Amino acid sequence: MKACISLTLFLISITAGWTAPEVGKEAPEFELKGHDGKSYSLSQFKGSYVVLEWFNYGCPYVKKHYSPEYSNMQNLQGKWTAPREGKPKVAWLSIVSSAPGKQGHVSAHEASELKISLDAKMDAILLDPKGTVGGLYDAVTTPHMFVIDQKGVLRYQGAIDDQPSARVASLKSAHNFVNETLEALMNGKPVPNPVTKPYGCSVKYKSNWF
Amino acid sequence: MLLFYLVCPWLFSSEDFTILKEAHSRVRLLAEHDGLSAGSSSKLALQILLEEGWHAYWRNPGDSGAAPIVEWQLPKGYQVSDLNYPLPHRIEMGQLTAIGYEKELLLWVDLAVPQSEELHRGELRKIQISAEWLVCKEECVPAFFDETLTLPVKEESAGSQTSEVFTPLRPLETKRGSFEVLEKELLLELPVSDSSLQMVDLFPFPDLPVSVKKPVFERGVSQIKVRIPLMSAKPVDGNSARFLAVFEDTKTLVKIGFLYEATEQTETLAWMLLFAFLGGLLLNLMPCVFPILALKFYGVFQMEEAEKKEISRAQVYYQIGILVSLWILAGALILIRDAGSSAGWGFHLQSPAFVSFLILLFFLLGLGFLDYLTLPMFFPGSGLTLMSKEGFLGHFFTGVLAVVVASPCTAPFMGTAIGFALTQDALVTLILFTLLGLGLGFPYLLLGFFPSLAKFLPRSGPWMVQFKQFMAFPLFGTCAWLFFVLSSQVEGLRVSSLLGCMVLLSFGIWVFKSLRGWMRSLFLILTLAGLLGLGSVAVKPPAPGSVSKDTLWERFSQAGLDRHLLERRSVFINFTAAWCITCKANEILTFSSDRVQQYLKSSDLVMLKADWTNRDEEIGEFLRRYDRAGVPLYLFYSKGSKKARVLPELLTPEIFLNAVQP
Repeated sequence: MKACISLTLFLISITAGWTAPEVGKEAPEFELKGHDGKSYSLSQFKGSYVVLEWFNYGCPYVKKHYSPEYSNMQNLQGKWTAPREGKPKVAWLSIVSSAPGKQGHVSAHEASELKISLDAKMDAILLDPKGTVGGLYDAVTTPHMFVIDQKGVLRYQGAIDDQPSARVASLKSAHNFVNETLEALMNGKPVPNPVTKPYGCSVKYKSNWF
Repeated sequence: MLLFYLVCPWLFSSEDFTILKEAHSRVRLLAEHDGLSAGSSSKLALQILLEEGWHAYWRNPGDSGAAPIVEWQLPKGYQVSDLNYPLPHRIEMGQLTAIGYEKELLLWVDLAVPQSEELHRGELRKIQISAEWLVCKEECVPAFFDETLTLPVKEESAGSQTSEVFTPLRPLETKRGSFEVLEKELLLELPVSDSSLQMVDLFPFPDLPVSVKKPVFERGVSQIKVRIPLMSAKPVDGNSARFLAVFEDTKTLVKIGFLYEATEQTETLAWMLLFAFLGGLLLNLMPCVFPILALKFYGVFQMEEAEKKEISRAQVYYQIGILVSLWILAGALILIRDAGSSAGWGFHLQSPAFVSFLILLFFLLGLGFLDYLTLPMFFPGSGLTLMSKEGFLGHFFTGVLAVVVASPCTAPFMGTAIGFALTQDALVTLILFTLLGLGLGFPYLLLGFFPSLAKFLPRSGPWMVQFKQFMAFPLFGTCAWLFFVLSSQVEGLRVSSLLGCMVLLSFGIWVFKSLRGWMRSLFLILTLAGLLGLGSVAVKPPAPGSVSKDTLWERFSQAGLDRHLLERRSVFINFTAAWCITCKANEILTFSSDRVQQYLKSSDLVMLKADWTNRDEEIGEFLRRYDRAGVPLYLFYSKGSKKARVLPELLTPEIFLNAVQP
């Protein structure tokens, strides 16, 4: 029954064209199970900033950001989720929308192991094997980043930075959009680049293959 | 792997290729020539072969994937063009679309070897490539390739061992298009000249917030309308939205691509309608048309009071004459455009036969004004009473005549309106030409509907005869100018033979008027024979390239332009034609001025002249790209830039120098 509903919702979300989340509008609500078995919903984070990161540990572009040489993603996660005096909280949720049997798919147990082995600092790895939430957000690549403000409004969606290369060395000169967006939001300034073209491997949804 | 050798016989040996097993690719870096010659350009190519089932991406990879990233490390002074891609395919996977290549991908650039290498013959040069491309099947693997090519500097280089890989490589032809941003989609209008080409796909360049799904095409008469859904609220750069349009030749089934640079449509139809009308109105003041108008008013004065009521009918016939002729002209232009040739206002002046005809026509009209011959047909009221039947034809033909004599002239506003008209579909073109016609006929129309206005005209008297005769001279002046046009189209002998024709014509008229009986017939026959003889000499088509040498200007060609741009030189292009008065004015005012001459002496600005006096496809195509149906057009490319800046039609030394000085 749940599968039916999710699939229908997923199909509706893809076929209804203009339902892709728009920057400036409220971000779609969702609820997913995390790597720790707990349930996570977007609404429970109202009052904090939320960063959504589409994740696939097998994708070379994700590997670039997690590579021990720079630990780019881990550092980024750590920087923003660390509790800071007087500063608003930021929740970092990594979502895996890979279907079972496809690259990147993990069970809750595997996800926990991965988090430890990568020394990753996201608040939770959320499991979306049916691709419902991926479809809801129209996530097309891994990584694909979304930044939601304290009121639940989507303020950024797109690439993690401006270097769409798989070479680790490209991180050196990369300009990070998540940093740029969060810094602007927290200082009350307008977001310089609210929408960018995301890069990475395609999200390994159930109904399509790349 | 064996399949590769069987399928691709042009592969020489597997040693040439680097095998990237994990990335499912085989790759090699190729050079077109076996050496580097000073001042020349040579191609370099990265040839990538993909394993069955795997694909790589175009510059816009589509919904996901990644475009290839290629970086070069070149010896000092060398320059490389932007990366060129082969025509991609659409790879649809579920609800996502990728744009890329299966089996093979050949990326290439043009390498410009500096002139200074002349002094370094025999030396070796290292060219390094650092390439990255993404290969995907279901999962994706990035491929990395870093390689160095070493080539000697040679006096003359021969083709390399793999030079045949380069023979079919050509950069994409660029065309201009326009777009409108609608609520949720982009409406793109792309002009198409060749009716044998069918558009099969359209790919947006990266950075455009549009969907990459195959869009809906609507084929119009001379353009294709495409509706593309907008993907986000991100604004589209009004200055340029680029698309790769893939066409298929319906006969040969060969695919060809064009790069369309579209700019936002800011000129609304409403403005163009106004411009067309104003242009037509102002055309009445041009030396070609003014005598006709003057004579029509003169005809009004000649009429008796009772006949003045006939004016409104007369002006309707006159207006009809104008409109019918303009519609025929517009129709001809549309047909020519659709047949693939480039045509613009003034295209008929490219035919020496027509120019000769106009010269004779103006000459005869002038003679008529001088009362040397009577022209009852064309000027009702110029001495003969109005008869209603004759009246219709007479006024109708006066209208036709007005359009014919207007053709060498162009008025302010008119150029813009017509230029715009010819980039639109047939209906819009006809509407604009109609408004031009209404503008042209407007003064007489006013008189027709408000005959009381005639009271404001000076009362008739003997001065009117003098005025009519005076009007002959602007007509002769137009003749002289048309001779100038003709002289740059055909050689002196033919021009003289036309003059001879005019002498014979004048003689023939005298014969007709003054002689009688057999003498008259005899001389008329002789005159006619002479006319035919001289006439045939005068109208033979011109030999191409018979333009005189110019030290300031270099002759324009697409290849020449590309070469100058690759060498990173600033280029100024002057699109002109012998019949274009504005062009001549600019030539005198600006290009021949001391300030500009002084500047040009010390700068390395390349001055190209594109002379459109005689039909030239290359020039016509270029003009169309900039939405211009005719000349003048002034373009300035600053050092090495690919986009040209369009300068205003009326140039002054200030405007010119401000634009070209860095």
